[in-house]
Parts: sequence; C-alpha cells; structure tokens
Amino acid sequence: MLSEVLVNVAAVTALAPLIDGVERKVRARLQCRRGPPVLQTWYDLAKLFRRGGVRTGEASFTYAAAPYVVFANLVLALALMPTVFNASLSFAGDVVVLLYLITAASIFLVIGSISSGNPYAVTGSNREVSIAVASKLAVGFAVATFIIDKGSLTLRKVFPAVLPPTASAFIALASLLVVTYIESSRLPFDIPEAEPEIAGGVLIEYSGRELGVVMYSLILKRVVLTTLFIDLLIPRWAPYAPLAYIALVFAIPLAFTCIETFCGRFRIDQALSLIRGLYVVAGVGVALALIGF
Amino acid sequence: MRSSVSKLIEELGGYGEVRVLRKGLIHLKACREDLPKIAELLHWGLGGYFSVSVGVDERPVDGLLHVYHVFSIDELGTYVVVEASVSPAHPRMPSITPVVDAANWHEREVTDFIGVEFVGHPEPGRLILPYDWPEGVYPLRKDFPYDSKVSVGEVPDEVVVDEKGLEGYTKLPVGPYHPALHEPEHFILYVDGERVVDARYKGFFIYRGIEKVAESRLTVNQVPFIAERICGICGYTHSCCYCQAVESAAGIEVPERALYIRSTLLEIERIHSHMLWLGVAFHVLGFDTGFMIMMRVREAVMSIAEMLTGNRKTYGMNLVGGVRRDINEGRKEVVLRALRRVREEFRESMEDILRMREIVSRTKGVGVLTYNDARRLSVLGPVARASGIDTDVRKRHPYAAYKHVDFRIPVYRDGDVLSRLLVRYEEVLESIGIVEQLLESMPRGEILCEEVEIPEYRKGVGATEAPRGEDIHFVITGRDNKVYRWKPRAPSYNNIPSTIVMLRGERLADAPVIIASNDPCFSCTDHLVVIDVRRGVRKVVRGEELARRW
Amino acid sequence: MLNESSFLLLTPIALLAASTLFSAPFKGRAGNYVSSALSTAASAVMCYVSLSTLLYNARYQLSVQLYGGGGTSPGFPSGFATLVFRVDELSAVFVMILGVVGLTSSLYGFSYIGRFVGREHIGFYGLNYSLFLLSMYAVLISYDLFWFIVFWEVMTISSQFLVSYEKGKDVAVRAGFKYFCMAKAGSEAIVVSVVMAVIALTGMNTSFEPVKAFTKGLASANPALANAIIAALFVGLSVKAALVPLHTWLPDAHPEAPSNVSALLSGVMIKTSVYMMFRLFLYFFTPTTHWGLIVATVGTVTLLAGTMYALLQTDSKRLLAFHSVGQMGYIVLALGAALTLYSMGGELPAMLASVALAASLYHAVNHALFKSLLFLTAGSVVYATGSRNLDVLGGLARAMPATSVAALIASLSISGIPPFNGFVSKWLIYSSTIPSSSILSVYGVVALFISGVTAASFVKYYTTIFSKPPRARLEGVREVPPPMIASQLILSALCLLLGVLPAVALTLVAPVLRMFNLLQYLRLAAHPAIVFIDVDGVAANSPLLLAVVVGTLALSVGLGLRTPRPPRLGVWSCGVRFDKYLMNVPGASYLKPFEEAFQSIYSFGSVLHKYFVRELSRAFMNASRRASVVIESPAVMLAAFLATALMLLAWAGGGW
Repeated sequence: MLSEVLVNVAAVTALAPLIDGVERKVRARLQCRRGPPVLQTWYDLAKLFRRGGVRTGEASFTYAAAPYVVFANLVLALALMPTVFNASLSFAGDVVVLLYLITAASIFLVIGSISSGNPYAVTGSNREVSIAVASKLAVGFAVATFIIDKGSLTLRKVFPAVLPPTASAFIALASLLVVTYIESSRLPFDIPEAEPEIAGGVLIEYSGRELGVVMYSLILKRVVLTTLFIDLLIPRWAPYAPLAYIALVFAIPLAFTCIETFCGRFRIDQALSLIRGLYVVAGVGVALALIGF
Repeated sequence: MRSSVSKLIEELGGYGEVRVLRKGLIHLKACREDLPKIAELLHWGLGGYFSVSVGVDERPVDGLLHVYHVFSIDELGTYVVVEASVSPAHPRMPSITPVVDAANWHEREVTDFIGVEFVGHPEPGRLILPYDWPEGVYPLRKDFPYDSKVSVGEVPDEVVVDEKGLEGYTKLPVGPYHPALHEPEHFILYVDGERVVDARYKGFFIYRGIEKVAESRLTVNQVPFIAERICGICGYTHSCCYCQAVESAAGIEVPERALYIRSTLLEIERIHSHMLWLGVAFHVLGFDTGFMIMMRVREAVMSIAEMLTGNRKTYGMNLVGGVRRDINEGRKEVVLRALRRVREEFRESMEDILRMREIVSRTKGVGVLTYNDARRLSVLGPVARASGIDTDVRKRHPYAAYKHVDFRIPVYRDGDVLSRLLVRYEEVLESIGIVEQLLESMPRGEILCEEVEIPEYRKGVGATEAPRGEDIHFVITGRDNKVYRWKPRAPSYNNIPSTIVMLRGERLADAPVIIASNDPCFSCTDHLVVIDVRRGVRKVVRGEELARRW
Repeated sequence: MLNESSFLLLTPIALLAASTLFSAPFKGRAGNYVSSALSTAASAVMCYVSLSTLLYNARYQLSVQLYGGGGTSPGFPSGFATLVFRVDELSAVFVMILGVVGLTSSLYGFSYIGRFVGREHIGFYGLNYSLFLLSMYAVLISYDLFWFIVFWEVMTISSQFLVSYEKGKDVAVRAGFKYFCMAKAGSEAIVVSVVMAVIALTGMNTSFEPVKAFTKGLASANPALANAIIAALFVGLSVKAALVPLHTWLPDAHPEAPSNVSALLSGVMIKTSVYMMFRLFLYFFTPTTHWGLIVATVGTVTLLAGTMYALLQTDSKRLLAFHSVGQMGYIVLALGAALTLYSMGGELPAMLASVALAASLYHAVNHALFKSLLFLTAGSVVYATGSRNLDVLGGLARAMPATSVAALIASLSISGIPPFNGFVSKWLIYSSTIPSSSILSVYGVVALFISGVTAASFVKYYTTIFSKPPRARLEGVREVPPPMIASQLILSALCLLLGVLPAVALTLVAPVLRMFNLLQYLRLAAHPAIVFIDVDGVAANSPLLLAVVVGTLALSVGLGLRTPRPPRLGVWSCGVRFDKYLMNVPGASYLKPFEEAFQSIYSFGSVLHKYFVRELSRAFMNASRRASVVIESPAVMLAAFLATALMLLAWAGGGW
C-alpha cells in the first residue's frame, strides 16, 4: 500500500517535466515553429541543477529554505491523491489539507522570494498572492459543493464527483477547471512571472539549483491541480483508471496549451475581475448543492 | 495660415539675412539675441516644428562657433535653417528651450560637444558625455583629434537625484538590462503600488563616435556606408538622408531611376521595421504567438530585400549622386508576387489579432500623449500621427520618387498605444502599395550621376520619413573629398523624451508597452562620441538633468 | 471555609493585590520589577489551577459571606453579601489562557517596560497591570452575576488606564477614551439585563446556580423575556468581544497600549466576553436554532470585515488589532455553528456540534497564543527600532533572528499553515461547518477564503518588517533582551506543540464538552508514534505525521541540492548600481490590486459607517445635549436628586 503510494508519487514527479516538454513542443508547432525536443525541460532542469546558485546579501534563511519546503509541500499534496495506482495517503479531512498544502506552497515561495530583498520580487509576489487568494473563494465554493454532495471530507469518498451526476457537481467541476487553469499560471494569467514587465517577478533572485527546484515545483503544481481534476472525473476503481489518468494528465495540459497559445497576458486588475465573475458561477453550484441538486 | 514662401522670407528678413539655398531650404543668418523670438515665430506662430540643432566649430573658417537651429514649415514644404554664432572667448547664447521644449536635449548636446553655453536653459548639465569626462574638453571641436586619449577623472559613486515630491515612492529601475528592452537605456519608474507616478530617463550608453570619425577619416562617399550602420533596423534611411543632404548642398541632380530605387528600398525597410515592432509589441504584451506570426510574415520581406539588393538588411546601395547597383528587371515579377502574399497574410493575421480582447484592452487608452504635448515636444512619425498631427516628410517635403506615387497618411486622434499600433499597421499596407506602384512604373535610365563636383563649405539638409519619423541630416561640405560637419538626427531623439509624459499615471504593467510604443531606436539615438570607459554601472540620474517639465 | 484548594484559588488574587499595592509607589524600575515578578508568579499559579481542574478534576471553590445574616431579606444590598468563586471546566479553559498569556506578558514586561522609565510613572503601570490581571482572573472565577459585573468594570477601568498609559501621546489618550465610552455603554446593557433578571427573580440571589435554575425554565415560560435578556447580554458582550459592528474601539485601543498589555488585551480580555457568551448560550439557556444562526452570522460578518480591513493597514499593531477582530469572528462562528447544530437534533448534527464547540474553544486558545506572540514580536520591533510603520521598516531578519523566527511561526500559525496550531483549529471549524449542508456551509467557505486573505496579510506583515529592504538604513538594531526572547520562545513552542500534537489541546478542551454533554461524539485516538485526532469518522488528521513528512523531504532535498557557500551579490537592479533603500516597496502598496478588486466591500463599510455610526452618534449627541439641562440648572438638579433618593428609599425599604 505504502509502496504503491511511493510509486505513484515518484512516477508523477518524474513525469511532470515530460508533460511540460510536450506542452512546449505543441505550442511551438501551433506557432509554425519546430520547437525544442520533448525532453527539453529535463535538460533545462539538469543544467540548472548542475550550477550553484547566487544569492543577495540580504537573503535570509527563509530565502534558502523556501524552494525545498515548497517542493516538499507539493510532493505531499501529490501523495494525498491516487494517480496511477489507486493508492494514496488518505485520512479523513484531507480535502482541507490538500487545499492548504497548495496554498502553503504559494505562501512559502512568496516569503522566500521577498526575502531576497528585490522590489520586483515584491511586485510579483503581490500579484501571485492576490490571484491565489482571490481564486481561493472559487475553489472553496467548488470543493464545498463536492463535500456537501458526498457528505464527507475525505478525498477518497469525494472522488469521483460525477457519480452520481448532479447539476451542482458539474458546475463545481467547471469552475474548478477554470481555477486550475488560472492557478497554473497560464496565459493570460501568468502575471506573477511576467517577464517583460517585471523582469521575472517572483523568480527574479533565484538562480542555479534553487531556481531549478522552484521551476520544478511550479511544474509539479500544475500536475497536482490536474490530478485533482482528473480524480474528480474518473472513478478510481475502474480497470481503465491508470491508463485514463496517464492519458488525461497529458491531454488536459495540452488542451490548456492550445488555449494559452492564442492569448495575450491580462493585467492584474483584469484577472481579478474575471475571478470575481467565477465566484458567481461557483456560488450557484453551492446553492444547488444545498438545495439538494 | 495661407502664407507663402515669399511672405515667410519677408517675415524672416526682419531678423537678418535670408538666403534661399535651394527649393525647400531657406537659410537665415540671425543675431543670437533674436533666437528665442525666431523660434517662437517658426514653431508656434507659423505652425512649423523644431527639428534639430547643430553645433559646428567653424574657427578654421571664420574664427567663430556656429549654432544652427533647423525648423520645418510643413505647410510650405520648407526647412528653415537659423544660424547664429559666438566667439570662442564668450561662447554664450540665449536658449530657445524655454520657448520650444523640444530643443532641450539638442542644446545640451551642443554644449557637451562644442562648448556653447545656452543661457536660460532650464536643465543645463551633461547629457551625453560621461560624468568623468574632463571639463573644457569638447570632442567635436576641430582641435580635438578623433583618436586622442583623454585622462578621465573620478567617477562619482552616488549622484544626488532631484526627486522633489517623489520621496516615499518606490524606485524601480528599468534597464539598462531588462527583458523588455532591446537596447540599453535606463528608465527609473517611481511607483505607488502598481501605478507609475513619474519617471526619469538616462540614455546614451553606447556611443560610437560616428560623427567624429566621418569628419576625420572618411571620404564623402564612404560616409553613406557608416551611416547605414547607425541603426540595425533603419540604416538605409540614414544613408539616403545623408546622400540627399550632400546632394542638396552641392546641387547634384540624381537620376530618376536611382530615385525610384531608393524609394523602393526605403519602403521595404519601413515594412520590415514596422513588422518587427509589431512582433515586439505583442511579445511585451505577453502574446508570444503574435511575435512568432509577425516574424514569419516578415521573413518574406527580408527575402524580398535580398532579391532586390543582395542583402537582407544593410543594403549598401547608396552613393552620393545615386545608387550603386541596379534592380534586376526579371526579379520584379517574383517580388510583386511575394508582396501580394505578404499583404494577404499580414492583413489576415492583424485583423485576427486586433480582435483579441487582451490586446485591445491593454493598449486602448494607455500611454496617452495629447496633441498639445506632442506639439510641444516636437514628436515625429507614427507617434505624432497617432496624436493627431498630420505630418509626413514624404508628403510635406517630397524627396526621391514620392511625388510620383499615391498613398495615404493615417492619422489618429487618441494618442494612445492602440493608435500608434494602428498607424503603423496602416502604414505597412500603404507601403506595400507604394512599392507596387514604384516597381511597376520604374523608368529606365542611369542609376548614378558620375560627374559629381562638391564645392567646399556648402550647407545642405536632407530629410526622409524613417519608420520612426522624420530623419534629418545636416551637412557642411569640406575640402579634400571630406565633409566638414555631418549631423545625423534620428527621429527617436525627439520622441524618447515624450515617453516620460506617457508614463505618468499609468500602471506598472503597462510601462514596457508604453516605452516600446515609441518604437525607440536607441542605436539611432546614440551616435556620438564616447570613450570606451571601463566604468562600473552607477546610478545615473542627476539633478537638474531630469526633465521636471516632461 | 478556607481549605487547601480554596487557598490556591485565592493565591493569585493575593499576589496580584500585593503587586498592586507594592508597585504603585515606585516611580522607577522597581515598580516594574515588583509587579512583573508577582504577576509572573500569580500567572503560574493560575496555570496550575486551570490545568489541575481540566486534567485531574480538581475542584476549586469558595463561598464567602461578607456581611449580614443569611436569610431572605429581599433588598438591594443583599446581592453583595455573598462572594462566590468557583472554577468549573469552562472557566478553567479561560483561566488557563489567562495564565499562559499572563505569564509570558509579565516575563516580557520585565525588560519591555524599561522603555518607559523616565517618561512615565512606572508604578502607575504596575498598579493597573496587576489590577487588570486580578480583575480578569476574578471575572473568570466569579460564580455570581453581581460580582462578575463588579470585576468586569474594574477590568475595563484598569485596561483603559493602560491603553492611555503614554499620557503624552494624544492618539493614546483618545483611543483610551473611546474604548472607555464604548465599553461603558456595553456594560450598561449588561447591567440593565441583569437587573431585569434579578427583579424578576425577586430572590436577589445572583449566584450562577440559582440563576441557571431560573433561566432554564424561562425559555418556555416567558420566551419574550428570555430573548430580551439574551439579546441585551449578547449586545453588551459583543462590544467587549469586538464583534462587528461594535468593534471600532479595538483598532484604536490595542495598538496604543504597551505591547505586552496589547497581548493581554487581544489574547485574553476579549475572550472573557466569549467566556460569558458560552455561559449565556450553553449554561444559562439551551441552544436554539435562531440564536445559533444569529451568532454564526455575526461571526461570519466579523471575520470577513475584520480581515478585509486589516489588509489596508500600514501600522504593525493596528494590523494585528484588526486581525484580532477577524479571528474573534472565527471563534464566534464556531460557537454559533455549535448552537445551531446542537439544536437541529440528529446524529450527524450532534457530532458536528461537538466538533464545532471544540473548535471554538481550541481556536480561542490558539488565538490567545499566536496573537499574543504576534503582539510581543511587534513590541520587540518597537523596542529595537521605535517604529510601527510598515512603510519604513524592513530587513530586520538578520539583526533580530530570534524575533524573526518567532514572528514567522506566529504568522504561519495565524494563517493556518500546517504544522502549526492555527491549522488544526481552522480545520476543525471547516470540518464542522461545511459538511452540515446548510447555510453554515457557506459560512465555512467564507471562513476558508478569509484564511487565505489572512495568509496574504501576514505575508505582508512578516516580509515588510523582516524581509524587504527598509526605506533607510536602520541604525543600532539589536536583538531584544533575554526575558523578551524567552517569552516569545515559550509561545512559539506552544504554537508548534498544539499544532503537531492536537491531542494535547483537545484533552484540555474535552472536559468542557463533557460538561455540556457533548463529549461522547469527540474521540481522541492516540497511537504509539502518531497522534490522530479523530472525530468519529467524519474527520481525522495527523499533523505530526504531515510535519514529519514535509520536514524530512524538504531537508533531504535541500541538503542534497543546496549550494554550499553561495556567492553573495547585491540585489539585481537591471545592471545599474542602485541604492537598494530607494527600491523599498512601502507596506501601503502591498496587495493594492487585491484591495482595489474588492473595493465594493470597503465602500459598503464606509456607507454603513456613515449612516449607521454617524447618524446614531449625532442623535445621541442631540439627546444628551437636551438632557444636560439637568446639570445646568441647580433647581432642576435638586429636584431630580430628591426624586431619585425617594425612589431608592421606597424600593430598598421593602415597599411598606
């Protein structure tokens, strides 16, 4: 059981850069370019890990510790959900824990980044925190819908949300899909790292290995969110579940990439007003769940 | 204002000796005390605009230092060169900057390089020379050899900044190294959260001493080649401009076919420059796919240039009196077909892109430059046209073969980034049309005026509409097949100061877009002498240097 | 009579009374030392008393007949005759809070009050501080309504003097005055309701048990009167508990007091109202759905408004004060949820009710811990730099490492990040509200959202003080003296302890649930190496396990990958040598886009303030202006006095 969980986590963690590589290839093709090889993200990370990092004089221990804490948080979040095998670290109430781990990842990263002392990091962090917190209400509504529908706070009991199919579950799933897109820092929402605007934002003072770990964490975060969505969608006990998972964990990001390629970037206020619109949708979901739909 | 050239001459005659150098070029030798009044008359009274100031050390000729202020009277299609002189012992003359804001940088440059002091200048101080350059050494004076080594002084560690009323705001440096910029320049943004409260600018990091080299080492016909290397995008326009200046000074008639060829290549350059700009703008807005699309479409244009000249960018086609190589008639059909495809793809892509909400909402109403500010700062080119100023050198001071072709000048009133985008978009389409007309109606004949005689000490002005605005070169011919003075002024020189006005009150996220919307060609702007100093980068803004009024 | 247990009960009172008397005459340091030492000792005894009650079922009570023979002479003065002190399970939890926070604050005060030597009269601080602690203790152990009110008033007065302790500062004095006015208004509401109850009783016996006997029956006998009493008491208590919209005194008052007093104010004093609310709703009356929903709604509005307004603050202590308001909302929400669920009936709601009640108490404990820790760290920053201004501060992490670690722990705790204590109590709140399939679920989601906002706000708090570069170099910043470090350390350790071993806190809270017959639904399962909290199959959690996993993973990856001896360069400023101090981002501009996006909440608040507060206060001013004619005219005053005296005589005399 525990070994299956470890395999799950290791497999997905190893797979994550590959998913990113496929995304880059597809995006290039859509732009009429040849694009980098599919393993390119792995090569980039390997290159970064080979190099030592440089840090500012002001950086304190939070700066040094943050990348690793973030990474660990996300790996643990991954362990809470079944991925390839139907095994996970499950305990009642882990829904809330999952949400907190994902939020904590953002918070720790932001604290670490600001600890470097760079104002661009502060600007980027403010944007990151604003978006993360704002979307939390939408996530809260969506997750609350699932909890009310299933009457349980355990992920394993909440998965999958579509059986039995209820209107509220579908609305919640839809809003969760949008939030997943937003939280993955995809255009038009990749505001925190807007490279031309704020020279890298949150990532500005990280370099070398630390940067490698941070980038890996960000890729992993996308996979964690995708995994949550997939687990809500497909029943885990079905024999086709592992294959379906692997297929979807590639397919969903690819679908996002296709959308992303044709988008410019939002300004932070535009992003926030869109998220506010999402509240209404997700709120409807909760209302329906309360009534019993 | 239905005045005519003769009326103009009459009015100017009150201030000094007026000479018509040739059609479209008037020279006024004035008393230096009258300069502010003349500037007022030409820039505001007659509805012209200030173009450039040139400082020339003419001590070998008449023992004096001369300053030339050049104005363009669009309505009459005339340039007015106002000349004044001072003696080197008391090199002071009244500044025209209080009257015409746009002259701010120009006069300071003259002070830096020739040593003339402008009394009443609101922000005197070094513009281009580094802070450790010794006092009293003026590089563009004739007694300063181009290869001298200068002993530099102490590099100040901390320079005090005039930031009245700006304490408490965060200062964010943008550049010299910044992902949004393609050439090194330094903006400092004073931000409050996500709002830019004010900005300061310091540029001129990459000087190459082109003017001095041209005066000292190069022959008249070598200069077009160095002119072409002033800029990495719009080099050909500089080379044409220089040739036109010399041709105007020496009264050389360029053959028709050569004029057609020049115009064709100028328009090709405009097309690829605007497409490059559009791609960069999309990238800055986060829309990388747009960048890729533009680059793909632009590739065809580069191939067209190669077909016509043998080179993708630095064409190497110009000589004083004409062009060096002819266009292969057989290639014409291929080029015309390629152009049609370019037009199709470009229009289709742009129409799609302009429907994107993110693009429009992030450029509409952003970075506004009002008509009044535009007039005050003498901005040029698409920036001016986007703010409602109907000006284009091709129409107002027709040169090369432009009087033979039909085209529109797009003018928008809103003055925001979207307007500048749309102006450039339409210009590309117009330029494609111009090239088609030129190629189809190109006359046969000579391409170079072989018998060329260039008398000494003649003054000439050449102006072209570069992709970024009016490019103007001022030339005084010299002896021994050299130029005595050559002052190229790229349009960005006038445009960059307006960036600060545009940045005020805007969001931080929009700052790179606004800076880019000026299409600043910093290479063009930085073309003057500097010593390769191995100095550390430092805080660059300085006291009164900063344009409080900008 | 006095036996050993009642002796222990009285010891803190004795110590604090001694402290009051003996520190008062000293103008200088001695006053501080005396009061701090005696207060620390008193707090330690309080801890012992509470823990032994909760863990070992000790019973402490004392009943003293102060004067007069027994008997049933009905009359106004006889209520004062009996003094009853008793510590039951509910009071024990709050006495424990008082003890812990009191201990650390007093310890902290050893060094901190040194700031005021020469500027203020230290003995005056010692007097009020000891009196404050004494009165809070007495409030919690009083088992008699009259004495409760008496000590309540003393608590208000002494804390008010502490708020405006820095007499020279205009802001402090005004804040103290505003606090005093609002607290008095609240107290009068309580007094009125109590008097009503007493008169109805006609027994003049105000001790809790007789009152309880009366009120339990009242709900069915005379619901209107019952509701009136509850409403009046609830409003009065809400003022002191700083619930929206009666919270406006807190953001002005708490920052101005000396920081260890702020810790006590936020950490304990506002909880005394909550203690009384617990008594009101669970002990005196039985929970009803409509009151439960009212309480829960008030709680939700409070947590929303308090935290959203906290985002705007640029004064470190004012930010913390607003968060106090917000976190009180959490406690009250959980209480309301418990009341609602309890009255719904049925297996699942009863289970959730017990969880909610446990959550409310647990969060009260947690809030006391991390909020006082936050105030102490803010105080350390003030001690070291003299500033509370987030725009100006920055970069203190290297100069004040111990304080920065404590502040980081406290910030993570209040944000609810595992493995600290805030996470567990918030998790309990969500576990009890969201699965309830009622309006409480929505409240739970709002609470979840606001915990995210809290996290954002505390990222701002921590990084503006410790991480980002300051506006100008701060000279002479040093770590604070050992007593202050020690107190911060104690609280940080407790935050961590209650986070990874929630069984500890739940064991302490369980007796209260037993008292209200809700314990059977809350099970604590302890396994050898891993401790779970298990709420009967609905939810369970193992923070220790999580912490261990995350910690191990982070450490191993970190050690494996970290760059040994990395080169240190200046902050990246686009290739220009740029004065890093000028690149300072002031606290005011943090989170501005978020604030702008939620502008509607702030506008709504301003509208409410304009119409509700201003119009109301204008009406009162007009009324009081008309009433003041009584004082102005001697004849009218004399007449009023005579009339009142006659009425009192008639009433006291027993109505012949």
